[in-house]
Amino acid sequence: MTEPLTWAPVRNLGIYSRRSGSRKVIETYNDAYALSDTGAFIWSRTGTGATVADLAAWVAARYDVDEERARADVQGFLSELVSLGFLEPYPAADGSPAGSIRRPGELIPDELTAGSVCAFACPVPAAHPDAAVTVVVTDRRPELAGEAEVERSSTGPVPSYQVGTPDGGECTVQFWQSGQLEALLSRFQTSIPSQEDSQPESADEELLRRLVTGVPLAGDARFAEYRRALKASGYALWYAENHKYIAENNLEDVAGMLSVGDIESAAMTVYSAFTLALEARLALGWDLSPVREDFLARITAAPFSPLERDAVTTVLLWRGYLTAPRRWVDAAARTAEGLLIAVEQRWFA
Amino acid sequence: MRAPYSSPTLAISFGAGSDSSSTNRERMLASRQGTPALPTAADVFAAFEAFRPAVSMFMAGSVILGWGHGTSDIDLYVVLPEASGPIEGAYTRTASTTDPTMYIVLGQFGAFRADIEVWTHEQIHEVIDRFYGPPAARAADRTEQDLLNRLVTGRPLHGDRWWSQARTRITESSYPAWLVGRRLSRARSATDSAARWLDSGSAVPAVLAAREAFTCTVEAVLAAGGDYSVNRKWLYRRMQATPVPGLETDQAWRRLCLEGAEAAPADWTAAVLADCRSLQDGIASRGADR
Repeated sequence: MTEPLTWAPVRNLGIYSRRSGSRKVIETYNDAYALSDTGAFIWSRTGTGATVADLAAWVAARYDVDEERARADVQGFLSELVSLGFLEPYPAADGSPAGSIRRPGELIPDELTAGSVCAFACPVPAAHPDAAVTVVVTDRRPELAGEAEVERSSTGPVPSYQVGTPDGGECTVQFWQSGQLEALLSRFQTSIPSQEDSQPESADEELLRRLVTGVPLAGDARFAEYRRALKASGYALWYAENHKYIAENNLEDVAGMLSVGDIESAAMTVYSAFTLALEARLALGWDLSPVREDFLARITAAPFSPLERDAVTTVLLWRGYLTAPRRWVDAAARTAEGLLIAVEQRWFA
Repeated sequence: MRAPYSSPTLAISFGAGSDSSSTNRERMLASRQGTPALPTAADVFAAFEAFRPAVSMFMAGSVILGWGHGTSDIDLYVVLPEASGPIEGAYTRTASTTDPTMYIVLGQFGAFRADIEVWTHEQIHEVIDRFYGPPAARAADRTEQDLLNRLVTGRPLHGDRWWSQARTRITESSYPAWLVGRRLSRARSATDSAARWLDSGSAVPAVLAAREAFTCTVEAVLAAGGDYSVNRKWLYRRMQATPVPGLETDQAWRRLCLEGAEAAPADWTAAVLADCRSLQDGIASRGADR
């Protein structure tokens, strides 16, 4: 191979990549390509600004292969990806929750958690005082006056009640059976489900998010045990992959909309893809918050580089869209792709 | 220890999502030249024997609305008389109905890739019936809202009478009013949130919350005008397609693009929330007129 090693591959718009069972595939509108393990590893590091030489060095570090062969194979593989239209060669770049909270302990009377396996609640942001929810994990049926609302979980119905709080407000209390919570946790413990498999309900996702960010109100040891089990599971990666899947669907649509000059729809769609990609990226650090208006504070708390932060802020605030819409859409798509690449890299973590 | 090495490879599997052959792929690419033909009921039955008992089938989505592009899918809905049992190669998803299982199948008809949702007559009417019952019974999750919108805006392919009756039942039910109310409620929640962020001196979250309040309000206005879509990616097109008094598309678009928000976030937020109130008042007064 005599090609230079200094170009950096950039991904083309509208190319998906996803995990399907044990396979990693690249998809276009027409075709799917199954990647070998080495191929998937190289693909997961394209679009990051890494040059051919960088990729070859990573391959040689990870696999039992000498650098010379790694370089030749990486160059050959990237050329194939370029010829298929998945990548474009680019010259290497030079140089290369706000608001106050209420303590959850103030949310519900003690008798509601008496005899429970554990109970927990999340801090309530000042901007969303109506979001107060306490989860009680129990093995007995709740005996409360009033009609229960029933939340839909993939593990069966979950009764919930509105109760008055000691400070005069209201709080929703959900009663989960311990078996329900344990069944949910076990889905992500031994393997990570594919996106084709049946998906958790929104109540399930909310429960797991509360388990990550909640504060125990009763049964601290069991709460800690459940949280440890969750954090040792593949749930965050599944959640990130789920967002990635939808985001890439949107990015494929952006390419089509641009091809017919529908710039406004492309802008709305790329904004949606970007938002999902940002949530996917944040989820890798177990930030599963659904509060999108707080994105800037959330990325400040996450390990983003200053360059990444600038790129994210530009898209989030639509900076420059009205003066150069096409350029903004392209930049937003690139930013979204950059965020999604971090998800693929977790496949090899 | 380093992992065992083998040279990187790609293995093609023709037809993303729907397994097919190189012959089918060539045929599909050829059929995309010129004006591609939409599938017929006979095409669907030929490809999917399991759909033959369907009481109705309808197509929906951007291609049917005239907003499609070269890689747009067709969204096809198949309504079976009763639960079919597992469908080979289908994904399952859950609805809030008594029988919660619905299926998603990927198909290819000539030039078009199709996402096919398979529901039963019972499931669809169970959802619609909620909007002929007491207020407490009214509910539809996002997938069900999408289904109802697609049914109203779709084009029948088979079982026209079933489709037409179901469509009328939706538009004459309390569903449109419920949808408007739900979106207004979300708009109000986002408005409150914007005000609280401003009070706490957090300008950017206030701007983003105000944008969400405005988006929800626009969606409520559109729903009041008969647009029940849940899909924000087409919002600009939807505003153009459903003219509403007091909602000027280009001005609304500039709001959605946050024009002027960074320079004066508090003023921008206040102005957007005032627009929201004005649009919400418009819905109320038009409702009173009716």
